[in-house]
Amino acid sequence: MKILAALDSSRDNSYIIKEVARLAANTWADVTLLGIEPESVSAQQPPFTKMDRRTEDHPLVTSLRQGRSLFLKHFGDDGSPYTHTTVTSELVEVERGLWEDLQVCRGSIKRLNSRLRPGNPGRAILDEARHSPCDLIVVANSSAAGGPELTKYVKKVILDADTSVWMVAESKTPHRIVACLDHDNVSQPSLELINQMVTLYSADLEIAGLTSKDVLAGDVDHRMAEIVKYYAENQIKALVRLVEGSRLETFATQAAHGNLLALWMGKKSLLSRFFHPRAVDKLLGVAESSLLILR
Amino acid sequence: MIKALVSVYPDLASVIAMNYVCRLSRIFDMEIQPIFVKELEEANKAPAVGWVRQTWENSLLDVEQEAMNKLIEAEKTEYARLASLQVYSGNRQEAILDNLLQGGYDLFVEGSVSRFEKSELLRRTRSRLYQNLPCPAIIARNLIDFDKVLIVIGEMSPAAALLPRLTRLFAGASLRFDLLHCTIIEAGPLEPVHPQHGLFDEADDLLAAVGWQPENRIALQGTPKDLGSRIGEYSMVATTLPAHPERHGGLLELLSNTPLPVLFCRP
Repeated sequence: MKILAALDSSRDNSYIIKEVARLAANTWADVTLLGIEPESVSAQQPPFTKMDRRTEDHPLVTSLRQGRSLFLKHFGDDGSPYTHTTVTSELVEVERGLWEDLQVCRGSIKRLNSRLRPGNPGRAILDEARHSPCDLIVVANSSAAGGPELTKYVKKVILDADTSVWMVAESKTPHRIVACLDHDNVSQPSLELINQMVTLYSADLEIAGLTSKDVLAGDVDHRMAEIVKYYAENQIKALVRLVEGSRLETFATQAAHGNLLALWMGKKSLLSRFFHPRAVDKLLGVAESSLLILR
Repeated sequence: MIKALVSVYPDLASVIAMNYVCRLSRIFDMEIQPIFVKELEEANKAPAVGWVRQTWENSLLDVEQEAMNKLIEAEKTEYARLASLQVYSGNRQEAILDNLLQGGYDLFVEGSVSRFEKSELLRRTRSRLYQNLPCPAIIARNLIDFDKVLIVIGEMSPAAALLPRLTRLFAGASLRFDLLHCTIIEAGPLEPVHPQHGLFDEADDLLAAVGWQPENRIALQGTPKDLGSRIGEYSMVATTLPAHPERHGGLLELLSNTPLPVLFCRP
């Protein structure tokens, strides 16, 4: 598994790093920690330049290095798959036409990359996800200053990413994973990701199929049967429920309280129609809930 | 040996039912007879009349029968003693009732998927099939491993009506169970009821006569929602089938608030 975790330099990222570390420990994932700027960069904060690469106290640099340190601390020194075992020399172009021979640590079993992409945070995350394809993007559920709405970049990533997105709410251990689907295009990696979430939180699992005029489409019916049996074979109790499409918003809003809501999004899925930016705000309330978009 | 009739249809609920009854057969000695009843299309939906229509209906039936056989084959386990699928055309409830009566079955099983905001249980228990059941019935709602059963008694589920049928069904088997005496209220907190003298006496006498012993006796008072949430850790709940479901005193609402398979015994 490849995880991309976005660390907003203006916020405390300790809880998102803890969740990413726990998931990475269970899955032995390759992880990229991506430092991003906050949406509204304060006037006092200088823009990040090439010279800042040597700066110890630039907020982006500080935040990223703290995040990296916290991530590695979760694993300790012994037996960490991210511990480097060798030091090698690599020539790096520090300026146009100027190369420096740097000592670089390599040799870990799994990769931990620490990267910065200054500028628009939403674009930064999506660009990094395309540059280095990942299986899961992790962002924090953080409200915009002074209001209950999600920050724009979080909404942008949820709506526009090509891969699954996990929006983590601070200090909220979900009791149940509620996974909704209305199409049959459910990938094996997404099934396994739900499996991992159930294990991570020791949570119950509920699979909700969307009906249209009280009828469940044949392909969805068939796929739900396969999904339920897949989890049964993996010793996971998966409860099933049907939800009428017209009641989805009510159901999802209720389901999101105290639980992790997971949505299997398809191209023509009712769920994607439901996922208008304003609906996302309403669904997730005031920085309360975790959300998993499965693609 | 428990002789069970299982209603199947090419849908998710039937996958749950077949899978569930095959799991039960690991624990109880069972013979399983799947039955598929194809309800006739209305005349104005048929593409034609006469032999053309008959051919069309037969080919639809063949397709569905093949789907049924695949479903049964997929759910079959090494423990399940499965008979060949029986296929009928006609009124589903009548066909199943006839088979239950003529076949001398001990148990009827069908699947169901819970719905948000709607209770399937009220609709089913009011049906002609359920109001005339000659044997207990299991509505299998989820794939839950069989471990411990909760037997619900109380004013809406008298022990004298429930326990003889239950003990006869599982005679000879080793069943782990708790007894719950519940008092359903419209509002108020969920709280234990201090067992009055004699609250479990009738149940204890009936169970002792066949050598059964509950692991726990629990007396609770609460709303259907709270009681339903409390009993989620069991693998099945057994109770009587309300004679008048529309005046069920909250029992069906309680059962709707749990994801558990339900075993109904007609009083």
